[in-house]
Amino acid sequence: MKELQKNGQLSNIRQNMLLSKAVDFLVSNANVDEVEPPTEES
Amino acid sequence: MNIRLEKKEKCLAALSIEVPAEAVASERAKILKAFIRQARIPGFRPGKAPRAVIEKAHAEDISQEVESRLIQNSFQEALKENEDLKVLNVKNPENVTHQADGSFTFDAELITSPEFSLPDYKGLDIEVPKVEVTDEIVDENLDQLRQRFADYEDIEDRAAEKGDLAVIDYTATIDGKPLEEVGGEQAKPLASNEGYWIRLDEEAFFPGFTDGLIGLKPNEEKKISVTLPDDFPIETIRGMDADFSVTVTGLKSETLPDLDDEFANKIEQGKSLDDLKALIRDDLEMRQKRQLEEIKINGVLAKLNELVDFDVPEDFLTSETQSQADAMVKEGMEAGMSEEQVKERQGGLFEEAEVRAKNSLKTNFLLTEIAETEELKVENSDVLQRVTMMAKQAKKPVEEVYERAPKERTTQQHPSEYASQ
Repeated sequence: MKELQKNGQLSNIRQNMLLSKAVDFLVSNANVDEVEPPTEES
Repeated sequence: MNIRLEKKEKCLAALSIEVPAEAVASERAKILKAFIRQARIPGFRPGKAPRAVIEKAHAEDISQEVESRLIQNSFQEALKENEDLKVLNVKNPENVTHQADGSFTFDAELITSPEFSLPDYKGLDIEVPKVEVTDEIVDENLDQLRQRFADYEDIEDRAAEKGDLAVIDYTATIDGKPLEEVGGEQAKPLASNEGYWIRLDEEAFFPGFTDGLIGLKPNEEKKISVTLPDDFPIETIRGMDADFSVTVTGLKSETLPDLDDEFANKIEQGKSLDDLKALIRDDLEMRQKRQLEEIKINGVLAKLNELVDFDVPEDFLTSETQSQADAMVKEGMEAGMSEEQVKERQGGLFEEAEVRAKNSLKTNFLLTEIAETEELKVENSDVLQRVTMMAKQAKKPVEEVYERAPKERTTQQHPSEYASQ
């Protein structure tokens, strides 16, 4: 495992997780407005 | 050391470095010393060969090592002096010159992170559809289950009526030409069929098609003409009139199982009808929740992107555009597009890929900045947990998941991919 860490193979997974956290942060701080779904006619 | 850094457009910076003669001489002396210590020259004990002999024997290696060290040290020094500059990549040094006065100079182009001010990202306004799992939706799902367990009996004593199932063979043409000839590869699965089951209700197949089958008996033939709808998935034949030569090979009546506890037990052992309804409701609610999460994620990312614009590194954009285009071609071909159709749409496809690529890169730079501003952290234990989970899901050894990791994109990830994380 240490060898893999040294090779930087974990950094992509870590970066993905970090970006996911940022997305979660944005969603949890967003003003979410529930709207009626568009009907087929519209 | 003289370091000149000039920021340029499109996330580039030009670096010019001059290492004074004394620093060059000092570095060269250090390297030469190392060579003297290690070099093996016939006729001399290791480390005892005269300096002039070593210099002559390893002139090229020494020179290369000096350049390499000077460049490496200079980069480190330049980055230290310009700590605010987020360097993503360093291109190969150019104009590498040993000047007559003993100094050493070179230029290099740096790819830097885009400079932008984060917009107000807290409280982004997004809209999500109001959804709920109604009794009606649960019933529809139950009906679909009942249809999967339906019994079918041959009808031999009468002609086809509404609600029956007809088994048909057909071939379709447009203006006398086979459908696939006019509609291309994508239209092939629709062009002809044998033993095709069709429910005789208005919504099946094409508008008006099943009306043409009403009244037919097994082994009877008929030509049915329909107009392909304006929203038909294959663009090239939308709105065209198609002629179907149909032979009814069988008629069947459908008997759905009674909707009771016995049926529920057949679907989920030990469950009553009420239990089954609750299970269906839970499943639908879970799916809706996932869809809503995806809508929210795509919503905030789209909003964030709208609020700010900046250039992204050209090299990154080129590579990401290619990845997006490859993915779009793959998607298109999986959806039935022919190579010819892909070629025809190449220009538009590449334009679309570039838009996607820029958005994707922008999103990643913005998210990285937000993570930094909000001091979001990923602990080592979280990473290990994630990798273990990925391995478990893929039913593969943990080591294999690690090995695949470098192939995953990080700065080039498409926003929609976050939904599955």
